[in-house]
Amino acid sequence: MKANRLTLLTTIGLALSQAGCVTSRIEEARHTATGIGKSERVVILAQRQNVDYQTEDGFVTCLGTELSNGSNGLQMHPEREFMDQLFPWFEPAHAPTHSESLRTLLERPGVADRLAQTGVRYLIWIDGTTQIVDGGGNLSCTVGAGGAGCFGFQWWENDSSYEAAVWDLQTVEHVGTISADAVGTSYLPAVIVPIPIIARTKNAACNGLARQIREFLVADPSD
Amino acid sequence: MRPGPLRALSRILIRLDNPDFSGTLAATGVPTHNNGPKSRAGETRAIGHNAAMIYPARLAPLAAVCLLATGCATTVPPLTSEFPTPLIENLPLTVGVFYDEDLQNFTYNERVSDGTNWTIELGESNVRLFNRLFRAMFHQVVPIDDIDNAPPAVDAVLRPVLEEYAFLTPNELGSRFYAVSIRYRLFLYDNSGEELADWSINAYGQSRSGIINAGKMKTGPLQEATNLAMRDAAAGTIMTLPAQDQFIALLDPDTADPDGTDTAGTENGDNPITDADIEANESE
Repeated sequence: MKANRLTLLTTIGLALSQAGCVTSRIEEARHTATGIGKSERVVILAQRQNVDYQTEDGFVTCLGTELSNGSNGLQMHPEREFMDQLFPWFEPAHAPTHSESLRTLLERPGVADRLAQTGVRYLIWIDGTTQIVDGGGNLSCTVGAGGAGCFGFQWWENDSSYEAAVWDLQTVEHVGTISADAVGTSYLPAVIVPIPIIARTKNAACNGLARQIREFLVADPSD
Repeated sequence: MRPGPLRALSRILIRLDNPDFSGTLAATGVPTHNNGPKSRAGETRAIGHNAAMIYPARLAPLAAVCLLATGCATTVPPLTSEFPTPLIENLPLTVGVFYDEDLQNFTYNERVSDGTNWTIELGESNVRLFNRLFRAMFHQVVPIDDIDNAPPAVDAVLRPVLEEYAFLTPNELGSRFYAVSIRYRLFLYDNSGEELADWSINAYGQSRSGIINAGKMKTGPLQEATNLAMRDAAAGTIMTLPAQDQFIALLDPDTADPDGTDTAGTENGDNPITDADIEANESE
C-alpha cells in the first residue's frame, strides 16, 4: 500500500517536472549598425494602442529582467518612470509611432534634454501577446463523501508572438526589428489527480527575444 | 453541510425577525449616493422585517441571498499616486480655475451584471489632476470661487466638468481587462463670466485584472485603469487646448495683457496655485 502511494507520488512529481514541447522562431531585421556604451540605458515600452489586446506587463518585466541579468547585462530604465519623466509624450494615444514623429517630438522644448538626463540610448517598443489558438478534450472533477477526483483529458495550444522595434534615440532612427514566435501544446491528463504538462511559450519567447536583443545591441556586425 | 454554518445561518435568520437588527443591517450595507442606484441594504431591511413575521422558514434562502448581495459592495478609493508633471512650456497666460462641487465630490456608483455594487471616488483625484495640469500649462493659475467675478488680471477662466465616467469589468468585456472611459468638458470664460468656448476631452484606460479577484486585487486594476484614463485626459488636454483659436487669440499680444500676469490674484485677495499647494494637496 505504502509502495503504491510512493509510486503514485513519484509519477506525479515526474509528470509535474515535465514541460510541454515548445517550438520557437526568432527573426531579426537590422537596418543599421548598433552598439551601446557602459553608461547608456535601455527602456522597454509596451504598445498599448490596441484595444483588443495588450502586451502583458509580465512579459515586459520578464524581458527587462533577462536583459539586465548576467555579466554583460544591459542597464534598464523602468517603463513607468520613463513615461512619467516624459509625460505626456509617450502616453499610449500620443506616443510617436515612427522615427519621423520621434524627430518632431525631440524638437519640442525640454524633450531632448530630459531624454539625455534619463541616459536612455535605446527605446524598445514591444508589441504582441500570448493566445490560446486551439484546444479540446474533456475533463470532469467530482467531490463526494469518499473523496474527490478528476477524470479526462484536455489540451490547448498556445501561441506567443511578440515583436520588438528598436529605436536609437541618439541617431533618431529605427535601427531594427526582432520578432519571436513560440508555439506549444499543453496537456492536462487526469486519472484521479490532474497532471498538467504545460508548454511555456511565453517564457520561451521572452528568453529568445532577450537573447537576440542583447546580441543585436551589443554586437556590431560591421566589426 | 457541517452543523456550524447552519447554526450560524439560523441565528442570523432569527435575528432578522428583530427590527433593530434589520435596521443595523441596512446601516452597514452599501452607502447611498446622489447619483447612484438605490441602496440594496434598504431593500434587504424591508423584506427581512415584513416577511419574516409571516413565513420565517421560507425566508431562509431569500435572506441568505440578500445577505450575500449586501456584502458585494466594492469601493475604489481616490488615487494615491501622483500625476506626473507634464514636460511642456507653459503658455504666458494667467488663468483662473473654477472647480464646482460636482467635480470636487464626484462619486460614481454602478451595480454591474455580477451583482457587485461599485463605488468609485474621483473628486479628490480630479482636483489633483487639474491642479497639476493647469499649473504646468499656464504661467499662473488662480483658484476662483465665482466665475462671474474673476480678478481683472485673469486672462480667462477654465471650468472642468466630468461629464461621463464608465467602466467595464472583465466579465462584461469577455477578457482579462478592466476598461475605463472618461469624458471631461472644459469650459472657457472671460473674466466677466461670459462663456467663450468649450471642448470635450475623451480619455480611455485599461488594466489587466489579477488572478485573484478580491480585496485590493479587485479594486487595484480598476483604480489603475482609472488612473490611466485620467492621464490620457491630461495628455489630450495638453494636445488640444493650445491649438484652439480662443487660446491663440488670448496669446495675441494685441489682446493679451502681459504686464498684468504677475499681479494676478493680488487684487481680490486670491492666491495663485503654487507647487507647495499641489504637494500639500497630494499629501492629504
